[in-house]
Amino acid sequence: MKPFHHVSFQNRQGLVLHGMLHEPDAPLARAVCILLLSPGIKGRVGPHRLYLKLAEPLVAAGFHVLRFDYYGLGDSVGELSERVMADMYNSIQGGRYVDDTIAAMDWMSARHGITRFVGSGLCGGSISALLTAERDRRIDSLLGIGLPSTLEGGAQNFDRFMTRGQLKQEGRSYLRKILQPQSWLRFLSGKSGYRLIGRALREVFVPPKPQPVAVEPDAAADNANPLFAPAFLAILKAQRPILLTFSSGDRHRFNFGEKFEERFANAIAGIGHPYQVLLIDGANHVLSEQRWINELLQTALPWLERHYPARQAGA
Amino acid sequence: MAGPQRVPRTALKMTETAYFLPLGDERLFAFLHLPKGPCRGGAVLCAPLAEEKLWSHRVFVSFARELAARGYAVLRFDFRGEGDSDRTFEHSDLTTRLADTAAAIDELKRQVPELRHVTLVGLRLGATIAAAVAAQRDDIDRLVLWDPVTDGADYMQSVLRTNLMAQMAIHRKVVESREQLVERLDRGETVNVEGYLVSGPMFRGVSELRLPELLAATRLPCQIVSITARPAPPRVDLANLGSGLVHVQVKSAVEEAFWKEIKVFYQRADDLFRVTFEWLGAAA
Repeated sequence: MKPFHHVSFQNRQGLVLHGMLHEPDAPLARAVCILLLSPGIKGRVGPHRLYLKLAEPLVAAGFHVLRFDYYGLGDSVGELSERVMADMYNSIQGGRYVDDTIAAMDWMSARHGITRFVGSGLCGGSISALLTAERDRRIDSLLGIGLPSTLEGGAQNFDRFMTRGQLKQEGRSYLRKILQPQSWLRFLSGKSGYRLIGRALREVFVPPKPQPVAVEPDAAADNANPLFAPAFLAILKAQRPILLTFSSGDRHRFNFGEKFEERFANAIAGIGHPYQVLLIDGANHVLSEQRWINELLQTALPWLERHYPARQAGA
Repeated sequence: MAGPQRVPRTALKMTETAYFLPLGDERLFAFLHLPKGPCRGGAVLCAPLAEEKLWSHRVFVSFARELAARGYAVLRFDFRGEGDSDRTFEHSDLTTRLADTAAAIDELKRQVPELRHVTLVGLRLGATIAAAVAAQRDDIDRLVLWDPVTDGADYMQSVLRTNLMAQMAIHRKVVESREQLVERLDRGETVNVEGYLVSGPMFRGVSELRLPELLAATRLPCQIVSITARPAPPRVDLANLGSGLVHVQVKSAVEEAFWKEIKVFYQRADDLFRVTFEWLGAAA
């Protein structure tokens, strides 16, 4: 396999973006590029070099892989105005890097003649892929990893926007600690989050009755990203393949289920285009163990093969 | 929602080039920042370990650009096993990091032949590695150590503690004690720390680092910066490093611990930069 190499290109504002391009050996090449879009501050390598670990088997399967730093992050040029991490993440959820992603595809098209892309990436990378796919048809499938569908809240909002699934998980965790003396010491010290404990235990013992499906989310009382549903539904309507992978305990999995799938169940059913969801049992958000990465690849590689079949010899 | 995109102030005063630096049959990914005007000196930047490198990366980039804009040739690079350099993390250790730093120093001198000496700037474990390299060479003129690891053994214990915290999150209990993790390393196995596989050679190599001994051996002009979230005297362990050593200056800089996950989004560390620029004689 060829070693990956450094590339740079300009975004529409003329800022230089730095990245790495992995190219498959020519006989295997499928003329499809997987964009492993930066999650945010951890840049084009991702946490614990996740993107290098993912790129190697994807390139071996014949895909180009491009990973690059957005403006103002990693090695790329530019400065950001945010001073708080949550604000920076929210700017990504709001589509800040759609233009940079389009610039990357423009560069790949012009330089390498590739016009078909799989939008992918962890967390912020996935939402950038989704929001770009809504605007640019060249992203013709979405391989989401821990796709966020909500906006970040501050610490004061930590429990306010928790889903029922998250609350139930928290409640069970409290029950497991009920016989631990240090848990009671903390509880009696006044440092515990009593509101959260109350809500979580109520979710375990007195789950609320199912609510009728809302037609529209109540944006004022909720942290659902208002850009998420229109973009996701647009990709579904366009019949583009979607594979979403979530860690089983990931808050983004619960958010996706309760703040998108439940609320938009009618719209999703009306479109009738299926999407695939893989839950990786016991994994954390960043897939820090190789067995979790392997589980992702065991589903993703056949999914990619189905939608981008290898070229036949002589074709 | 693409807002205004700012071009950095440094852009007109320096150039930067990214490339892979050959190291035997392997590669180090490096960024060379050069001043557009005359070159006043050279600096190699040594990044901290693993996730600390990722959290602090943008501060390093900003510092490299600003230092270059102030007339320094600056090389920053990824250690093997990190970033875009070759090797997996588990196949890297202290020995490879010392060799990588040496290769980066040689490369900067090759790129800028008028440089006879180079300043090493490091953060956390990168600072301690810089001191270890300086103790082995005669072409280093100054050391800048940002919140250095003073005792490698303590540091590696804290690294193992991260594994214990992950066990708690995944299994709700500690299934393998710190002692058992060390035994595993001694058997030639690895320990997963936030997705990085720490090897026995890495654990043992770093555990042997003692910054006081390294500083006593170098006798180089050295600035140690104690990073504190609020105005305060330098941390005691760092202040003690300077006592009795006339070549060591210990200063405080008011910054958050930007090499960790914090609420503040850190692109630059202005107070830290100011303290170091003043000491380097590179203040604006």
